[in-house]
Amino acid sequence: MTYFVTLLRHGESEGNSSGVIQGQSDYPLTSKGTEQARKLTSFWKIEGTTFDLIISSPLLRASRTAEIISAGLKVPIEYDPAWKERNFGQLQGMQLDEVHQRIPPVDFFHPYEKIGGDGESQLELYTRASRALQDVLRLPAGSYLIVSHGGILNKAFYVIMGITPQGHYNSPIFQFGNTGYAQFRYSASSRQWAVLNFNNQLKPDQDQDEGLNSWKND
Amino acid sequence: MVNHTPTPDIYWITLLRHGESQGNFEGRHQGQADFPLTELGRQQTKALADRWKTEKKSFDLVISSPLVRAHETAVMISTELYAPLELDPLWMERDNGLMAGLSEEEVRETLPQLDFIHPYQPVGQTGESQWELFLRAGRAVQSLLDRPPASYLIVSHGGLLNMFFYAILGIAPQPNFHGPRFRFNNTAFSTLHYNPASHRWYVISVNDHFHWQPEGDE
Repeated sequence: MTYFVTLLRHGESEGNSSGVIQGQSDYPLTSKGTEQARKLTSFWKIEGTTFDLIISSPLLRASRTAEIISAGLKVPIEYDPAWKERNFGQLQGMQLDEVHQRIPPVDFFHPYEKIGGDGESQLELYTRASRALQDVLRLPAGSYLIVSHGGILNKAFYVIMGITPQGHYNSPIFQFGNTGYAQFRYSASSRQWAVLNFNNQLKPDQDQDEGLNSWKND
Repeated sequence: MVNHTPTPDIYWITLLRHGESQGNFEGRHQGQADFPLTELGRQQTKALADRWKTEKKSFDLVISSPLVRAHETAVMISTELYAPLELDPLWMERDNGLMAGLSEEEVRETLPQLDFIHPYQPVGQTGESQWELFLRAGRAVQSLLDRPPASYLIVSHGGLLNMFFYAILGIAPQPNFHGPRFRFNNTAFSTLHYNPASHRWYVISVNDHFHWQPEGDE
């Protein structure tokens, strides 16, 4: 009774390349993003990695990434809106630098605060990620690929690790680049998670420095 | 992967598990029992040094456990990458008491099997408890951050590095060694950034072993 769960972030989207906070607003992949998904698919083919099922966020940047992998590895896809990115409220569609100008910096924000006025709080995102992961573990034991987004995948990582969101984002950030992924094993008998690897891949075209800006990871 | 000049005031931390040792090869519980690298362990280390040279990776300082399997790994890497090397016993593997150097079978024959192990219970009757190992990992984190921000390579062991991750992610040891387990292959490394100005840990990679793809190893 062993589950293999891979959490994958989508390829580069138009929103990523123009520095926009996307949230649940919909942006397609760029040609670079398409290429990243193709490269990953052929890497997994060579490596012999495959899945029983792909579960994808219905947002275009994720669903297109999932479709490319699905076609290459011949694995079926199901869409689940629970894996959509965080709702960023009124921040959605704004440029990153615009946010810093238009929204006055606050001294402290707590994990229950709705982002962008009416978006999801950290805790809401965390509970959504918990439920989404729970649904995966209610499927029969097998190998599952989740194609989703940086913000919610971070919270799924928290759920697996047993850590909770902290005020002021004072909690760790798992740095998913475009088509970055993490692989886990869950033993249903010992109820224990193992982190098999995270970003164990060559990404010559990716600038890791982008990671130091927490917004861009979402 | 692009080479980076470390951003000022950010810690760049690479955690490396030693190459295959004679104890790994024979499937022994090593703990602080001292086993040298095997020929394969040296080949793995050379493959990693070659990879890092190609990536133009550099470290300001290498800090290693004095146990010979880590020390040998550290000497090879620090020589190839021209980085200074310090030894620090804080980074040694768990003292596993009477299990040190025993095979799985010998442990079963000589030591009582416990149904339940609380986190304060000495391992192998006289060794470090999970809490003691966690506290030592905490001191190791502190000792690293007492140094100025720079690029550090730590050469250490699977058990201690698991507790290092617990310490930075905010996970406490649980009974029966429950809680997530981070898998580290021989010469696999994990990369972290720490920004003291925001107290934020960035997990960049875990168990990256791209230079040495395993064939069913553990």
